[in-house]
Amino acid sequence: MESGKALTQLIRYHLYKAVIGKSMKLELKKLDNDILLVSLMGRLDLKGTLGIDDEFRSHVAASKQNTIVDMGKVHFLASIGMRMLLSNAKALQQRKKQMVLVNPQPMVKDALKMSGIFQLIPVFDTVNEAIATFEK
Amino acid sequence: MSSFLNPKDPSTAQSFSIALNHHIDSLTLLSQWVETVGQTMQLSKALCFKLNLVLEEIVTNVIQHGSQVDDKNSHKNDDQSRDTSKDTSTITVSVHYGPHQICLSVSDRGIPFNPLQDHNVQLPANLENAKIGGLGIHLITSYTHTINYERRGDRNILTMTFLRTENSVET
Repeated sequence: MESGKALTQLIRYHLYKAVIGKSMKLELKKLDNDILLVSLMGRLDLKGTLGIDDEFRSHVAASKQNTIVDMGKVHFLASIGMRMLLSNAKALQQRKKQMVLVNPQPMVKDALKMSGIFQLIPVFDTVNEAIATFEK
Repeated sequence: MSSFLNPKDPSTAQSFSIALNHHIDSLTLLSQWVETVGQTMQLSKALCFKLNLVLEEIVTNVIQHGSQVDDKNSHKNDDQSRDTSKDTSTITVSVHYGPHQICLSVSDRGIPFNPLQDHNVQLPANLENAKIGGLGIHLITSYTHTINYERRGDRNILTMTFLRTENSVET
């Protein structure tokens, strides 16, 4: 690719990130035993994922905490959102910690199964079930 | 609303299309369009989600990789006397609703790009070996009943079908 075009794309990408409205929201809660609960809300499509990617990474991949990601209010999940989940789960695993997902909506769950992520990142129905696995 | 849906044949309202720019905001417009089409066609939530996901993946791909207009080919096809400065960035999405299946097509004027080429995704067995890529095309091929790519003139055209009865997930 020509450098001019690459630069234009890079600038465009950062502009997107700067101006993107909050189509995704993220809430954090510290649970007992150093477990972090991250609740995602909205659409994990290109726009939504770019909007929270940095924040999510700074709290999850960069932490050394077991993390529960509550997917209950995520009503759409595209591959870019899956990549965000996957790369953060990988980063945590390298730190000997684990990321799990809880309560995905039926179609989101189906997409997780279809993509193979269901087999890579544990998925639970409830936060309590997820907490129990960390206590084992 | 009907102008938003742009029915090709208002008498039956079975075909709709939308033209999108190479811009991230097009994805928001696209998902709203799919929702509206889904409601009009009375599609199940599950099928709507699949259409939404497949279109999101394809159009994201086109925006990210296909924004480079095929300059070489444009010069070659000068005889077609079209206004390249005006029209090159348009992505056209069409949906046609049949009794048993939904036909979907996405066309753009980017450089020749066949997303189905070299598609050989092997789902990783564990997180350690998982590659962070190739998921989009895997989802597209998984969720469509048939999918076909062709280069017609200066356009990439992806044609897909979805079975209307194919609902593994109850919503």
